[in-house]
Amino acid sequence: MGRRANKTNRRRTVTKPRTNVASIAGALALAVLAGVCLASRPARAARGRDHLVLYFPRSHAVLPLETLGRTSYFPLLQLLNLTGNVTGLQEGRKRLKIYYGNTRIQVDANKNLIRLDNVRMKLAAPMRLVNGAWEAPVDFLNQVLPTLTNKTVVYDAHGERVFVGDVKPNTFSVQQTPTEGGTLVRLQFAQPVRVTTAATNGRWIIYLGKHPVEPVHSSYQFNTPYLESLRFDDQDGLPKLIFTPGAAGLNFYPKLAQGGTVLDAEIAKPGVTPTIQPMIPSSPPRAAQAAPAPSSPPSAQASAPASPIPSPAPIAPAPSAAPNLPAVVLDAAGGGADAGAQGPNSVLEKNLTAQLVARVESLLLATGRFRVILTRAGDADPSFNQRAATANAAAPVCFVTFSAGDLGAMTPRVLVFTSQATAPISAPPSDPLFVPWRSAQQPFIARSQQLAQAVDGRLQKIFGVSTLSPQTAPVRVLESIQAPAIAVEVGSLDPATNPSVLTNANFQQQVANAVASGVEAYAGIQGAP
Amino acid sequence: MTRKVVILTLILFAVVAAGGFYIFRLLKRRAAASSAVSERLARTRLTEAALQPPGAAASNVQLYFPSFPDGKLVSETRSIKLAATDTDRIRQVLLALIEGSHQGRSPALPPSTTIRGVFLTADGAAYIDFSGKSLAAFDSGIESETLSIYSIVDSLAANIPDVKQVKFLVDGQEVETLDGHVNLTGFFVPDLSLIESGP
Repeated sequence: MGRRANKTNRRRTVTKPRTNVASIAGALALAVLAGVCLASRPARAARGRDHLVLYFPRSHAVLPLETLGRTSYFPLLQLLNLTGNVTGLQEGRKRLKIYYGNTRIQVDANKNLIRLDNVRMKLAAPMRLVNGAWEAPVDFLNQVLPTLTNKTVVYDAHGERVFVGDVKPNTFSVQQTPTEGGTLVRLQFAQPVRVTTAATNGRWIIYLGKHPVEPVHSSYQFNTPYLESLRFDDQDGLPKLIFTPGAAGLNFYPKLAQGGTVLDAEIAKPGVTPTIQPMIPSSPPRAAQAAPAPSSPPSAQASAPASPIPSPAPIAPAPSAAPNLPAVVLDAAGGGADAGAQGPNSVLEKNLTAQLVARVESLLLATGRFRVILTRAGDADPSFNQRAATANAAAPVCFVTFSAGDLGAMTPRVLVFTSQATAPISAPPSDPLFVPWRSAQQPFIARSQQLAQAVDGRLQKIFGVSTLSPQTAPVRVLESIQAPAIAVEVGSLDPATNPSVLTNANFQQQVANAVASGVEAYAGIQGAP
Repeated sequence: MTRKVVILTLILFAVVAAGGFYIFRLLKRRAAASSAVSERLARTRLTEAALQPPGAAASNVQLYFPSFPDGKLVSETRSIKLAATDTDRIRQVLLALIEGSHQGRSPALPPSTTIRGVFLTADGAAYIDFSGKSLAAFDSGIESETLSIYSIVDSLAANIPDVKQVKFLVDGQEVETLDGHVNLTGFFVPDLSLIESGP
C-alpha cells in the first residue's frame, strides 16, 4: 500500500521537471508550514496519566486524565454522561455534535472553538480525537460546564477535583507535636468526619467518609523518626489521609474527638504508652459506618468520639496488617492499551467496566460490611495472572469481574457467567497447600453459581434491561480465582447498535445496585458478617 | 449588479462542485467496502467449491450459528458435497461458517477469517489455525466469543464424527484468549446444551 503511494508521487515529480520562482516559493512556504506544525505539536515526552474526581451533592465519579505537555485532557462523553443526559450523537470525521438535554454541543478535533447551540466559546487548548475517543482540555470544566449544566462548578486544578452543584467540601488544618517516644498529629476539620482506618504497604490510612474534602495542602513532610509524611489523597474518589511512618514496627493510635471535628493520631514506639486514649471498636465490624480499604488491620471504626477506655490497646502497626472485614474483589476488564470491545461513538469496554466497578465499590463500602479490593488501578492493564494473584491473596468472600461486549442487537443487556466445570463439582479443599493455577476455580463452582443466581435475580428486576439466566463460559479471568467468582457482561457493543444507554449514569447505577445487593445477599447466605 | 451575479454564480458553482465531489467520494468508499466484502465471500465460496469433489453426492451438513437473544446456537442445514478426507471436511465446515448464515443468523466468524491450517490427530483432536490478522474484525465479548467457539466445535462434531475435541491456534501459536475474554489455551469438547431445541 505504502509502496504504491510512493510510486505515484515519483511519477508525478519526474514527468514535469520545472524550477521557477513560484515553485521555489511554494516549497519554501510548505517547509515553513511544516516547521510551524512541528513546532506547535505538543511534546510527546510530557505525556502522563492521572485522574479527575468529580463530586456531586450526593455522589462522586472518577475520570481518567491524560496530560499532554501542560494541558490535561479528560474523556468528554464520559463527563457529559455524568453531568446530564446525552440524548444523541452525530459524529463526522473530525466533528462531533452532542445533543445534551436541550442543548446542541458542537466540537471539532484540533480546534479550541466549541459551539453551544449558536453560542461560540473558546477553550485554552484544542479538543483532541484520540483513537476515536473525544478528549476535552480541563479548561472545559471552567469555561463550558457551568453554562451547560446551569450549576456552580468549582475546579481545583491542583488536586484535579471538581465540585459540581451545591457541594460544600470539608477541609482541615494540621498540627504536629512531639511526645515521649513518639509524635502526635492533630487534624482540625471544618465539619465533623466519620473515619475508618486501614493499613497497606507499610502505611496507615484513615478514610474520611464519602463527603468531599478540599485540603489546604495535600502533603505534609515531617521527617521525624516516627512520622515521615502525611498525604491527602482522593484519586479514587475516597478522601483519605495516608500516614507514612518513619520506621517499621511503630504503633498507630488514632482518636476522633470534639464531635468528630478533631482527629488525633499518635505514632509511638512499641511499649510506649500513648498520651491519647485511642478509639477502639465499641461494636463488631458490622456496625461500622464505612469500610476500610485493602489489607486493613484490626481497625478503629468510629462515628463519634470513643468513650474512655481504661487500658488503651494499640492499633496493629501497618507491616503486620491482617484483614478484619470480608473482602470483595472487583475486576474491570481491559485497561491501558487493551481497550477491549469497542462500540460506536468511541464507547470502550475498559471505560465502561471501570465506571461500573467504581459504582459497585462505593455501594459495597457504604454497607460497612466489606473491604473492597480492585485488581486494576486507574487505566493500568494487569495480566490475568496478576489479577488472580491480587484476588487470591485477599481470600475474598467473592470475586466479580465486569466486561462489556457484543451481545447482539438487544441493548441494554446484562448477562452473568460462571466458569465451566471440567469435572464433577466438588467441595473446595479445606486447607490446600498448592492449588493448580489454571483450575483454581473448579472447587468453587457450586458457590459461584449461588452468587450468580443472587446477582442475576436482582438484575432481572431492572426494568427495560434484557437478561438471561446465569450461563457458563470459559472466561479466562475466572479460571484462576480461588473463591466464588462471576463475570457480569453488559452490552451490547455491537457495531450496529447505539451504545449510549450503556454510558448512562442511571443504567450503570441500577446495574451496580443489583450487583452490590446480590453480593451482600450471597455473603449473608455464606455467613459473612 | 452583473459582477454580483457573476460572484454568486461562481460561489454556487463551487458549492455544487464540492457537493458533487463529496457524494462521489462517499459512493466510491461504499462501493469499495462492499466490493471488499463480496471479494472475501467470493474467495470463500471459491475455496469451498475447490474442496467439493466432482461427481460426489451432496450431503446435508448441520451448521450452528449464534443466536444472541437466547444465548444459544441455532442450527441451519446446508447441502455440501463433502470431501473425501476429514481435514478437508473440517475446512469445508469452517468455510461454510465463515460464509455466514443463509437465514440471517449472527455470524460465527468474521468474513475476513482465513484458515492457515487444519490438523486432525488419531485420537480425534482437531487443531485449527486461524490467521490473527483476519480475526481482527471479531466482535469481542464473553458471550460472542463463547458462542463463536462452540458454533465451530459443535458444527465440526456434528458433521465429522472423528472430531472429539478442538484446539484453536492463531498464527500457529497457542493464544491465551480469543479476543480478551474466553480462554483458548485448552481443548474444547462439544457442548450440546448450547444448541437450541426446536420450537
